[in-house]
This record gives sequence, structure tokens and C-alpha cells, in this order.
Amino acid sequence: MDMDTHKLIIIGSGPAGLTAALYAARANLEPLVIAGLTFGGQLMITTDVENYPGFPEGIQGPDLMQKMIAQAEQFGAKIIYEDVTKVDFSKPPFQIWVDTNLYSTKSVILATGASNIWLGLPSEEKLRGKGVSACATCDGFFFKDKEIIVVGGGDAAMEEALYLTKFVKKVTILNRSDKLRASKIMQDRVFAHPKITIEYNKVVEEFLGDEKLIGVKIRDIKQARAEERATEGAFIAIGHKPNTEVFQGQIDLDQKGYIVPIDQTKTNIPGVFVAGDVRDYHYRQAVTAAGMGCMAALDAEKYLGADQG
Amino acid sequence: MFDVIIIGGGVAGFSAALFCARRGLGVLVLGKDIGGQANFTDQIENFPGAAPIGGFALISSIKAQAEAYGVKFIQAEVSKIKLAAQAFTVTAYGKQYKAKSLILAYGKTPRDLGVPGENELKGRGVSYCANCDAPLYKNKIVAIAGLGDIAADAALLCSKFAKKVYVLSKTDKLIAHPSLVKAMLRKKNVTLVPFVQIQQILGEQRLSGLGLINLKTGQHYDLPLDALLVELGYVVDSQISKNIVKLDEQEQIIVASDQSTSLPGIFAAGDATNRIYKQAVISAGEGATAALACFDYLMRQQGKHGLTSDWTQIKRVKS
Repeated sequence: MDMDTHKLIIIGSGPAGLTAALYAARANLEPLVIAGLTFGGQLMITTDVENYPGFPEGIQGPDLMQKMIAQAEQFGAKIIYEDVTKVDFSKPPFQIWVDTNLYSTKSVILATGASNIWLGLPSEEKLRGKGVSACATCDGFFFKDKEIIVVGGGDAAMEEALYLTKFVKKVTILNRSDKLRASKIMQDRVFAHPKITIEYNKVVEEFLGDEKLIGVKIRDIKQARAEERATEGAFIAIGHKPNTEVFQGQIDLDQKGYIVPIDQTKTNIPGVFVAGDVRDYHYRQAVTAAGMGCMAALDAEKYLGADQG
Repeated sequence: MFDVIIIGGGVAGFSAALFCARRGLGVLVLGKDIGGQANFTDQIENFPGAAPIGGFALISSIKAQAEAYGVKFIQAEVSKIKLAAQAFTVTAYGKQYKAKSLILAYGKTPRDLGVPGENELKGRGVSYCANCDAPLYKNKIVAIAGLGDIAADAALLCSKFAKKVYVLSKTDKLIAHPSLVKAMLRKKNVTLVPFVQIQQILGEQRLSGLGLINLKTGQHYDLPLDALLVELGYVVDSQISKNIVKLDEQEQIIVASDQSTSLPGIFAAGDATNRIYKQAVISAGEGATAALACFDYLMRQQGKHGLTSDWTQIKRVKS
């Protein structure tokens, strides 16, 4: 049991959380970062980051996150690699549990980001990491010269498919309707690529295999017909969802589960702030998240200052 | 005709340029200088992910990153923005440039102290740029007017050169970040002078000192000096935006959460906006958001699908 009441706890450790930690630490708020068991956020599964300002040569996502962690720690942020299991924001000090460990804090910054959405099939869960993936940039290399499938019809799916063509022999995109949702520029690139074919009105019903993926069962929704097709790799790219399960009922969320921001980083609860992809489904860039993390820390600092009179 | 003209060559402007160019837009950046206010900081240690770096060096690297994707930069001060059907015309140093959209990222200019003698002695002992002038203060006695981060930064910088640095405060403390104040007061040649107000800047051809009043005792006295650094923050010089986009009372551009202004097709980012916090990483984030919102606007103008995410590799113009 951690008995002290912290000034500030930051939940999440992507660019938003770690930038908040950096600024809060520099302001002597002695922030505690509850980073999560899978820390670092979506950049940990991103290879070349070419659009983070100040890195003209580009940087690997995990390298950038290691730099941010080191920088936050250098200024005194404390980081623990645990998952938050329960929160109580009903009144200050706010209560945050990691299993049975309770942390109490005067202010909180929520920066838990967003994660990939999965199809939700039992066979998908069984074969995750064994041929079924949601991250072409992490796992694409393992499918060198194979024929693989990509599930989805938005920009993310097009990007995954195009990225995978660097390694694989052939990519088949399975799209559940008769039209892609992706932007024209991305569609044009996919249509023009000799390694990519698109099949419409197709959904995956089951992933086949025990130890590793050997094929998928595909249903044609127009023809009401199913077929099995051999493949060793399947990439799911049907979008992202905010990581807010643990905050449900504690703070205002929108229909999609994103935290509703007020004036950038405030929420409906004074003392609870928000930054990054967990409140932003439009821009979702490392640097936009970092900018918001900075604002959230400064807002928290101001809130704590007012609190102390 | 450019897709977008970005006015301002600081963090916000070049970050916006980078994200616009990666979307394939034709981008021109017009800036009176390169660096903006970051120039005034000799070491930025709070830009996330970056090793401690000089303000100018950081912005030069973002500029290089943007230029690698085809961004064009011209060093020129914009004096006029004109609206015409479906296009904006921007005048800078007598030349005209046209674009379908604008991103205003021109930041701020240093604020005046507003006391007698100031206008007459600007550039003659009264300075607004520690980074530019601190090396000139070798073995001199200088005072800093200001209480915030930039004042503490300026005092730290001056302490490397000057014989004596006075930091003048109307109260008995500064409002700068505690870590900066601590570092500043650790310097032997820096002294915080509490409860004083500057009433007059003294000197004929050059600054010779300050006329001060002690706010506790009401006593007037003169402080002999070689130079005064005015570090009171910055004000927006929004002359070019007046009557074009909506401004607040401080002449800051009013922006929505997507960095759009009151006029469709014009976006704004960084210190020129009405956001309260002024930090490099916030400006960079706002620049990126403005760029993506601007791209979305231009695509929709053409009846195309708007914003997509930006994870893909895009071919560079230069290596």
C-alpha cells in the first residue's frame, strides 16, 4: 500500500503521457507514471517515424519512446510498469488501484491512448502472434515471400497492405462491403500495386490452425457462401479504439468511448486531465499527442497551484 | 499558386510545413527570421525525445526535415494579406505570392516595458533579446526586467558573461519554473532585487541606469547599469490579420480545436493564437494539427475524401 497522496499521477506512457511527465517533473510535481505492462504506446509498434519534428533523419518508434522515458526520468518522474485495474474519481483525492495496491492523488492525467480493434473471434485470439497480427510494421518481416491477407477497407488497411508488399509475395485485402472506405489517394496506390488484390463483400469467419495459422475461412456475404483459403499471415486493420474501459462510469466518454475534452485537456472532473489519442480520433500524431501532454501538465500545475492557495 | 502559404519561420510554421508537405501539398514558408522565439533560448531541454538543443538548432533541424519533402522557404516579412475568390494573395518585401490556403504561425514580438526613456534607448543599452546580446555584456552590470521563464533563462545566460546580474521583481519571487529559479539563484553573480518597480530608464546617448522605486518604503533611487534586458514576454503583432480573421483583445488569433480561424481556408498555430501556453512542443503539435486540418479543407474543397492518418512512408524529394 502506497500511503502518500501524490500531487499528480499520469496513466499511460505514450508521447502524451511521457511529455506530461517531463513537464510535471520539471515543475517539481514529482509525477508518478503508471505506464502499463505494454508501455510506450502505439509508437512501440511503429518502425520509421519520419514526421516527428526535430528528427530530420527519422527515428524508430521504440527509440523515440526510450528517449522520452529517459528524459522524463532524468527530471525526476517515477515510472512503474503496471496496469491500472480500477479508479475512483468521485471526489479528490482520486483513488487509483493497481490490483490491490491503492494510489491516492490530487490530480490525474489520463493518457492511455488507443489500441487496435480485433474481429473478436475465439480463433483470432488463439492465433494472435502465431500468424494473426494487427501490426504490419512489427510482424511484416516474418512473412517474407508469403501470400497473406489484410482485413479492412479504410486507410489503415491500405497502409498495412502497401507496407507489407515490401516483404510478401502477394497481399489479398478482404473488404466487408462492396466499396472501400479509404481515401482516394490510398485506393489509387493500392489499385496500382501489382502485388495487391482486393476482394469485396468478404468477411473472415474463422482463423484455422492450432499452433500457427494455416488458413482462413472466408464468407462471401452476397453469395452466402464460405470457402477455406490457405495462408500463413493475416493482418487485422479495422481501426482503433480508445483505452478507456477502466474509466467507464468515472468520467464523461463519447459514444465511441473517447474521453470528452473540455478546453483542450480538461474533463468534466476538475483535477482530472486528458491528453493524446484517448481523446483525439482525428489527428493521432506523436507530436500532437506530445503537445497535448505538455498542455495537460501545465493545466495540472495550475490546478494544483490554485488548490494550495 | 501554392496549396498553402505558411507565415512564420518558427517551430509551429516548420512543423506545419512538414506535415503539409508529407500530404503532397505545395508549400511556401515566409518568415521574417528563422527560429522565432525559440531563438531566444540557448538550450531547450524540454522538447520531448530530443537531447538538449539550442533553439535555433532545433528549428533548423525541423526546417531541414520540411525541406526534404519539398517545402520552399523565403526569408521575408509579410506586410499584407488579401482575399480574392478561392485564393489568398500575400505581400512580402514587395513581392506577391498566391495560395489556396494559409497557416498563420508568425508568433509574437517582445513586449515593451512602457516607461519613459525606453523608446529613445532601444538598441542603445535596452535590449529584448538575451540570446543576441548577452555575449556583449562581458564584465558589465546588467538588470533583467521580468519574472517568467524567459527572464530566468536570460539571467542564467547573462550570468555567464556579465559581472553582475540584477533581477528586478515587484514581489519577492519569480513566477518562472522552480527548477529555473533554483538554477538562477545558484549563480553567485545573480541577485534578486525584491519589491522594486522601474519608473524610468536613464541616459542620454546610451543607457546609464534605472530610476527605481522601492514598493515597500516608497523610496526612489537610481541603479547605475550598463544594460537592461526587457524579458516581459511577447505580444502579438497581428497587423496583417486584422479585418481578416477574428482576434481576441490581445490581438491573438482565435482558433478552434482544429486550429481553424474564423475564415475558412485560414488556419493558425503557435504563439500567434489565443492558446494560453507557449511551449515549443505545443507549437509543434499545433502546427501538425493545422497542417492536417488544412489538408482536410483543401481535399474537401475539391470534393475529395479528407483526412487520413500519417503513418506511411512518403517518398522524399531530397535524401
